[in-house]
Amino acid sequence: MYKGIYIAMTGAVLRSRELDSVANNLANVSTAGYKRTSFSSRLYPLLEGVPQEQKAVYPDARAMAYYGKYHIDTSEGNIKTTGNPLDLAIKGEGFFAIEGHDKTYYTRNGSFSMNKDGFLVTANGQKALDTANKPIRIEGKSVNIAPDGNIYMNGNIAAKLKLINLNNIEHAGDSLFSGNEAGASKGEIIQGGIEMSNVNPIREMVGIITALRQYETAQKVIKSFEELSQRAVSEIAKI
Amino acid sequence: MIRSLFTAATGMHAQSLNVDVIANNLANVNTVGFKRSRADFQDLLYQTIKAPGAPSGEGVQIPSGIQIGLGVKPVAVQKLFTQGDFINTGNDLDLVIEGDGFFQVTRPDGTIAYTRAGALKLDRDGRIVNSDGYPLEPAITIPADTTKITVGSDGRVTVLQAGSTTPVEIGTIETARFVNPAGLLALGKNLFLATDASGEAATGTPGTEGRGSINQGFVEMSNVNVVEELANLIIAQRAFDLNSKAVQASDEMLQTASALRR
Repeated sequence: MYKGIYIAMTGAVLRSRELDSVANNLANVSTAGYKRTSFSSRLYPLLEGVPQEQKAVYPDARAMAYYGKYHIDTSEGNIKTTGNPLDLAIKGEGFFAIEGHDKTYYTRNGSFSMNKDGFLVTANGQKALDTANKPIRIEGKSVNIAPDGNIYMNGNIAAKLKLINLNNIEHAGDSLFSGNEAGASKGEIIQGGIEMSNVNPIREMVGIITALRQYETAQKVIKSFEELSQRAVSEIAKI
Repeated sequence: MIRSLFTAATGMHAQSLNVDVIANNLANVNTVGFKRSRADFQDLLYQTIKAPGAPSGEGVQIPSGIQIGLGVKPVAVQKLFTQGDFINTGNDLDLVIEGDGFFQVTRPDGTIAYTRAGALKLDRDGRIVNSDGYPLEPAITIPADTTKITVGSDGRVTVLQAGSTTPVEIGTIETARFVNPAGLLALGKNLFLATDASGEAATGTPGTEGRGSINQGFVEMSNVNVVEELANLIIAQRAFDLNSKAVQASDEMLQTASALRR
């Protein structure tokens, strides 16, 4: 049968994946510290730079759309002032380090609070880490956090928040990322502010429109192949 | 079926919760001692379609994988214990705590509840009670022939009795402080209960060990900022709209797919 019908199908499947990703961005439009994701499709890799003899075996048969580049957009979200002393935002690059069960996670969601033992924790109760990779305990009446991450309690530096750059970041859910540490960050901490999600509604709406229309186009292509095969069956058979 | 349908539905659900929280804040804009709440969200789990770092050929690694997120979840509705505005009433039994701390009242079942609403009253026996009639803990009874009640910044209650010019000390109002006030359980009626998350109450004299001092003749209004709440309301409503558009788009996609075969 026609190969084209399958090629068009792969395009349609990818467009619905693209809508999944847009829907996730929109669902997280008010998640503090969320970073939008996007991905593009490309031709199946076999066609690009395949050896000559393989091309003879699979002449263009593998032409299809395939997952291309997946991208986490780490650009900064807007910072909203809240006045809550344990709301921390990072201006510039970098992530807060968070203690996980098995490894360290990272986040830009600075909506911290204290647990009953006085440790600085995320909304999920995971502890934030200082530069020595130790949980931070807040004592005393007032807490001041300087832009460089130094935490002042009762006027003395008690700890320094770990602010780290990352390579190969990956979403881990719960506002967390995993990745490889790539040196201390020069970002500044703003106390009493929260970084909002960096999802831009206009961009996502355009994403919805493109995904939807390209999906329809693929559907039309599949439809024409169907008509073609119908003709082959009904009209050519007449002769 | 299409994931985006459910993903966008989580978004709509989260935003409607956000509106619920904002509506409650706005409804309590004039409630004495009310503390506003804020809904905090986190992204849900991710479905990994292609793992980053997996080999794509000999000596070649995929630099970044493909993960598709499955939406959003509300993770906390956090009470923000910032101070509300003080309003001067001149009433002897209107008290505010300047700084951290809560008044303690005894509920009818004997448990202690905590409140910032310091609009106190007297019951017929002369006990100092809150607006619901729950007595302060430790209980303080004002003598019947009292002409003037004075509460010091350290919580000491002194009274002037009829025909006397020397103030008599009759008790001390103690306040309670929590390591993590956001962990308190809101009971309604301006009351909170201690929980495992809030930690034990550290009770004692106001003005010591981080507890705020007491001011007489003021009430603490709610810490709701109307303009901020309305801005949040607009954002929540629009975000709800946007997510409904994603639901619509998923629906159209399914329709297109089903139109393949009539």
